[in-house]
Amino acid sequence: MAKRQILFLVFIFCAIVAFFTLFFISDSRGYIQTVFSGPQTVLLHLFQIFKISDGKTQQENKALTLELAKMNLIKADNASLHDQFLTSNPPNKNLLPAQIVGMPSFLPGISMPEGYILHAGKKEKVFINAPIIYKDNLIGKVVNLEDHFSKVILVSNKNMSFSGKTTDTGATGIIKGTGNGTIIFDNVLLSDTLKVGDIVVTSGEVDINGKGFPPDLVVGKITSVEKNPSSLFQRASVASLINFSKLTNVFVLLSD
Amino acid sequence: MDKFFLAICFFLAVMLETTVIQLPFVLLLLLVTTIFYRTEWIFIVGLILGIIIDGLTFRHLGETSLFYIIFLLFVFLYEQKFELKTVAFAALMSFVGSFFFFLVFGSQVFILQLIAATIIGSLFFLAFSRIKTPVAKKYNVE
Repeated sequence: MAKRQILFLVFIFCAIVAFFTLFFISDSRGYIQTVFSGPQTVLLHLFQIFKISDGKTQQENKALTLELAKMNLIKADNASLHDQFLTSNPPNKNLLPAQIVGMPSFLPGISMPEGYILHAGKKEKVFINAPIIYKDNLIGKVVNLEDHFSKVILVSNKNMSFSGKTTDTGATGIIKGTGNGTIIFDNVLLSDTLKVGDIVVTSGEVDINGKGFPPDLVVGKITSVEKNPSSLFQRASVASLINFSKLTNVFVLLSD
Repeated sequence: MDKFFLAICFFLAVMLETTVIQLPFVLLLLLVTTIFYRTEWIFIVGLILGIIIDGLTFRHLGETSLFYIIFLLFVFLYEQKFELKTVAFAALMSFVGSFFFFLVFGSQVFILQLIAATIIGSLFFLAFSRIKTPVAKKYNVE
């Protein structure tokens, strides 16, 4: 009986601490993230090395594998910075490079992540709903922030929805994420033309403070069209031009 | 040595769960540790790990801790009814725990993740059963 009493006492103590933490200590995530960001980055890049390489990698020893991970990280950083700053849209002065430290998904390399954890936060002037881009492609937006880290949802996330248009035919509609890497271009008028292979871009939703999705950021390419004459609208499936699971660095679009 | 090995396992589980794979590794490890050790310090471990996971996944601090300690309480209470140290029990509690975990915290592919978590929980149990533990030593069980 005494053992059972101790069990309940420990449980009640832990429950009180958990409740206290839940309601009174909500601003300490930054310290935890700072401590664990190093191992997270190494682990994430190790997984990306094994995704890209073939079976020969398994025979390399651990020291060489870690060295390879570090070298590829540096190469990826340089390549993405070089590529990004050669593009003209959006303006380079507003771009903040950010390293991805976390991208949990069910099966890494097979199922698409729903979001990222970035090594950039309030101290780097990142803000809620800041667009995340890679070259001239829209990747997602910031939904949660700490001092040096932020949580991003991708364009394919179920909670993502914004206005878009096609480049060829000028059809306008709403771009919605449906989960697991899939995007649809919905609420398009039947009188508008959608064709397979057309590129879907953002329409632009910038507010007076300069925040929001700028126009003409690439979302993806139309892969199929669903048009029913008895419906009010037509829709299309959109495939992103970027493989979200392969990225190591992205860019945050800061306001002017 | 046992506790050092456990600490490494928990660290790896936290890293995997928060960085790469959306499966409740920490929950499954806590379950298996509870089955083999059956001591109250598991609650403290669950509390601390839950707070770390909340910090790394941008949840409210304390959410996951609360889930873990409630789950562990049910595992301890269940001890009174049935034998714990079987793979069937480990699989059942992995299934139940993961089911509610995905219900509360969300999942990408619910059924597949649930099946994967149940299998991983059973594998953890089988792996731990090969390692000598204080309970195993006390009852001279292999």
